[in-house]
Amino acid sequence: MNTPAIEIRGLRKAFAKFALGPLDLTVPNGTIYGLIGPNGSGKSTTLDLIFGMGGRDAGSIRAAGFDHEVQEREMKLAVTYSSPETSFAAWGRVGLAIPYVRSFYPAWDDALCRRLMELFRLDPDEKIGTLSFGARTKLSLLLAMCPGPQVLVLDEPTTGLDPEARQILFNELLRMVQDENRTVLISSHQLSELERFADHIGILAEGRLVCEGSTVDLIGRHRMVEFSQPSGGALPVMPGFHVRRSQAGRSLAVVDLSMHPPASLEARGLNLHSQTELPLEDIFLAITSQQKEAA
Amino acid sequence: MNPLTLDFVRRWKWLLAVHFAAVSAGWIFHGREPQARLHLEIAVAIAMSWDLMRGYVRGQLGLPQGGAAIAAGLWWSVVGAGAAVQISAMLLGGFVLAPLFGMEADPGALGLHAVLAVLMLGTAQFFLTGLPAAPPRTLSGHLKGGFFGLMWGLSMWGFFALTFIAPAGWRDVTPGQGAVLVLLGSCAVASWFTTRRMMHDRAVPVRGGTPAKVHGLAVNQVPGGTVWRVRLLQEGRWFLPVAAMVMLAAAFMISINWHSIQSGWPWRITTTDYVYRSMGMLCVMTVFPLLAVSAGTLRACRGFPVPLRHWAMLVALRPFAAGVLVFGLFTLMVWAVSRSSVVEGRSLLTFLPLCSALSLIQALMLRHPRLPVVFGLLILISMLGTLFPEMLRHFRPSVPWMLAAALAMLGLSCVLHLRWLGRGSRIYRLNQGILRMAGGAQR
Repeated sequence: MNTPAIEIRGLRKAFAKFALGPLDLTVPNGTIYGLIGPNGSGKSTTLDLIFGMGGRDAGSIRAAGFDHEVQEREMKLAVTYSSPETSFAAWGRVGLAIPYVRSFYPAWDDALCRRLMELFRLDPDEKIGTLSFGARTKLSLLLAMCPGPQVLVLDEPTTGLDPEARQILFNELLRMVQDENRTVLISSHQLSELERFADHIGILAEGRLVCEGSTVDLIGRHRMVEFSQPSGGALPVMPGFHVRRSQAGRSLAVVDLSMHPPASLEARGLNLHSQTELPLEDIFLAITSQQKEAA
Repeated sequence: MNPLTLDFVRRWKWLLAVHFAAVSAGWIFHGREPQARLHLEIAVAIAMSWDLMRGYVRGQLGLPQGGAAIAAGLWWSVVGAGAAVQISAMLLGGFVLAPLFGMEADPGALGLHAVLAVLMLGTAQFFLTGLPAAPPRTLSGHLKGGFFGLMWGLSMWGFFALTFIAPAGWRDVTPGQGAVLVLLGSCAVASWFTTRRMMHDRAVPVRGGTPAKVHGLAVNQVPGGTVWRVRLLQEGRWFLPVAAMVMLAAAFMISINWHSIQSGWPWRITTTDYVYRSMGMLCVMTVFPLLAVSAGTLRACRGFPVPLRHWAMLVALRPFAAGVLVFGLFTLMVWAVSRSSVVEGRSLLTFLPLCSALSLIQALMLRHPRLPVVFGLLILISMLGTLFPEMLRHFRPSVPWMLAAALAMLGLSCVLHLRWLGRGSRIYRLNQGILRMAGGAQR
């Protein structure tokens, strides 16, 4: 049986002004999974909870087959985390932080470390406190990738990275996934990149997973539909059908065709004029704005 | 009023209110009790240092105002607002409230101390402007940063100590004290000019350039060796500078006190009392940097494959171990200078419960890493550091009782660290500021 890389069940965490969950999330093995959502939707909180940064109120988390609390050490040997909020400045120099982190991981990949230091141009003598934001992100990525994890969790990994560094990063991630059957969970706002590289997408809004599926399926089943309503009256309001614009008797809606096939729309009295493919960003906007309106 | 100064007063009004209340209450008794001539201006300078750590200057530079106006605003926030609060509180306590309590006002003392307030604030601002905005990259940068860091640290104690050592009025000022006043005045004047320079330093913090090519230093060539050696070296990196900093301050204090004893000054403190009275300051100087290290590194450390209970124990034991080390060395230094029995041996054990209390207070700070809570707990530590040994000396608890109390508090602290580091999430998402010093916040 193929154990999921990450399996979250019924996860809940309540704050004063925000509640996460109940959240069920399954990240399949050997994939790049993109977790996307508006600011404050609970992405970083979810990732933090996997690593015990804050206690969950309910639910269970298993990563790389290990319970994140009971088998914390085993889990963290197999799953590593990079986030922009993590700072290594207290370790002084790049050349001091790396051996320190390396000392925790028996499977540390020295060859990869040397390669990434060269590609990212991270000078071991450089003080971390004086690194640019992008260079700090590169260091954080290096420290998460070199332990040779089965599962790599990356929160906003491309923030502050130049295009060359982004390309290096995604090439390395693809190599890890394709050649070594590892798993990457990425939370990011760079939707165009996720559209190219991620196998699966999960959309988080208001603390809940509102849409999930393979990237191909998600993009394939959503269409921008141009329609008119000869009978007049109010435009339909229903899940999976989000009207973006309405003008001179014609309307545009982002439609989930798996929920509303063209035939069912026509049965509701709509005349369909055209259907066009959508980028992930437009699908994301339609789904999250509908969620916001519902909330 | 400069809009920056107005903004500073608005944001720190609660601190200024406490400052005002404490100073005016103290100065009611200034005619009879020299120790009532409280000087707490340094709190205003510390507030400004926290603003700077949060990247306040960079935020201001984006707004439509000139550099000169910003620098002037920063200077007036510390020297102007601080002096206004201090002097008005002194006048309220000394002139208005003192007669209500049947005390006499001493205009000479009030005048001298009002001038002192301005000079001390200017000097504090001068030291503040010399602190490095980013980790120094050259030897001269290290030396300059070290000097100003030391002077800034010492000023926190030194200005408070002026309460005890400042002369009662202008007529009592000795030539040596006059020279000190001139020195303070020079620093205060210089601070006006260095504030502008500091603003530019902080606006464009030093950044290391990206090298054209990294000649791949293999990480296994980086000094380190065995796993435990690497980790112990890292602990030493955080631990030893704290101990060294506290020891430097302690050496400074001891030498002044010893000089005062030799000179027969009226405010001298006996050696035994001196050790006890110093505890509060030593506690704050010890626990705060370690708290900053713990808070700034927790997020990274929780990602490592180490169970929570191990980190919790390590974090909980750090202030305890540092406290024992610092107090032990301090007592040794006092003994070395005075060549006499410093405190009775049994009382030395009071260090243990006190160090356990440091650990316990750190747990509270990690649970509530907000500025007012941290500030309040630092005040509590300083009071505890003075009151706790006095209480123990008064009640004379048995040795086993003290050991049991120390162990019980340390155990409770470990449990609280374990619980709060496991449950709380705020400590892992610190905003830029006071507790992010070790995590790379901008100064």
